[in-house]
Amino acid sequence: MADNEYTEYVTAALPWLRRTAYLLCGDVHRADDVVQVAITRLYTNWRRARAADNLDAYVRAILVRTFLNERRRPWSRVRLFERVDELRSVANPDFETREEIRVALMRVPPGQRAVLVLRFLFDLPVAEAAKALRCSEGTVKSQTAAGLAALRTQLGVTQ
Amino acid sequence: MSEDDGARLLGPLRSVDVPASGGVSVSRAIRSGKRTKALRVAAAGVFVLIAAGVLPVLIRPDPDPVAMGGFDPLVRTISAGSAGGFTPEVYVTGREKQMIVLRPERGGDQSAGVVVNAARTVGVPQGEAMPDVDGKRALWTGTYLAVEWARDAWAFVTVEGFPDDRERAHRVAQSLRFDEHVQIKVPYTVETSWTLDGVRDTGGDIELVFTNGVRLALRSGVGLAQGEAPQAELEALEKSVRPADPPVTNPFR
Repeated sequence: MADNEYTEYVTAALPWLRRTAYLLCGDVHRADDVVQVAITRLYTNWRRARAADNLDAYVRAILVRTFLNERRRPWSRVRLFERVDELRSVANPDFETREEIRVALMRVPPGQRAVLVLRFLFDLPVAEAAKALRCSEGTVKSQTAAGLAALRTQLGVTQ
Repeated sequence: MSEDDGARLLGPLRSVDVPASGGVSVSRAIRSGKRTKALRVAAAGVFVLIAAGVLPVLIRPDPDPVAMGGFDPLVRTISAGSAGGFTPEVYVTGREKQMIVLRPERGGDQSAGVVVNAARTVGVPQGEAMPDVDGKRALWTGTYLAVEWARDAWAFVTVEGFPDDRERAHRVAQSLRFDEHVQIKVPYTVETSWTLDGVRDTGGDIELVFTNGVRLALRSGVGLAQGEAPQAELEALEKSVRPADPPVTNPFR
């Protein structure tokens, strides 16, 4: 019964979990790895998760922490079964703009990147981002400022 | 810079498309989660035994200990042939494991990979017995084929995307060789204090992978470093790169 509930929830949540992970990782294969680990952790903590006030927030926190933890493991940076990514060249200005920003975001340190993604792409208030990242609101604010500065530098924005 | 600028700068990413993939499996998460839960129960049991003073009596030293294995990251000891509809595309060396990424010979979305672990770096996998691979014990775990390529040393072969993944994995496993001694030849030298973790060889394109996750390649005669290190350190690494002709077996100056 619990397995059915879990399966139902995760199946419905997969699109936003993959999207969040993709924005954090910038690589669909790594994003899938992070989601896979996160939903496995969710399964082992399903009883507690189900009792949470906000299940989505609980799961998002698992996902973000999984991303940050996996980044610290050296071998996680070399995918076991990755296919060689081919550079896509698409003559589409919107696509190129997005790619430019995506690449710049990937060059922002992971902790700051997580703050930027949560706050500006998922519209989380400072307090919720702090809860997801298990840090203080002050840290979220300082990481936001540092992350935005790093992003601007990467994009070559001077103002 | 105001925080409104953050929303503006990142705004275009709101419409980013996530490429399709089949890399996430809910049923696999349930299976792994169940194993983790079972391990927790077992660990709790071990704790009780230790607390009760029982375990030290039960445990005896291994009568024939095998030293923890390890690989030289600048030497590739494995290879794969074309088999099961796949052909090797990328070789990755490492200190505790070496890997091969294979691609479908006829193109397509199918994937295959091999991970060869050094002795005693992974536990004995559980699974259904399969026909031996070149005299080596083999098991099917439900998601991959495990082959005991040397004593207490396991290699894992995975194939995804075919109706007969298991049989194809077995054929890929039969094409594996574990006794190669290919000295990696690097077409550049570099000066760094970082520790080499492994080398990615994609058809002769050699990337050095350091333990901090930074990857270094030679592109159009200059170094290109990617990773999570500070920009200044990446740039210093890139600047230290010197093309080597002929390629060298020890790229560190």
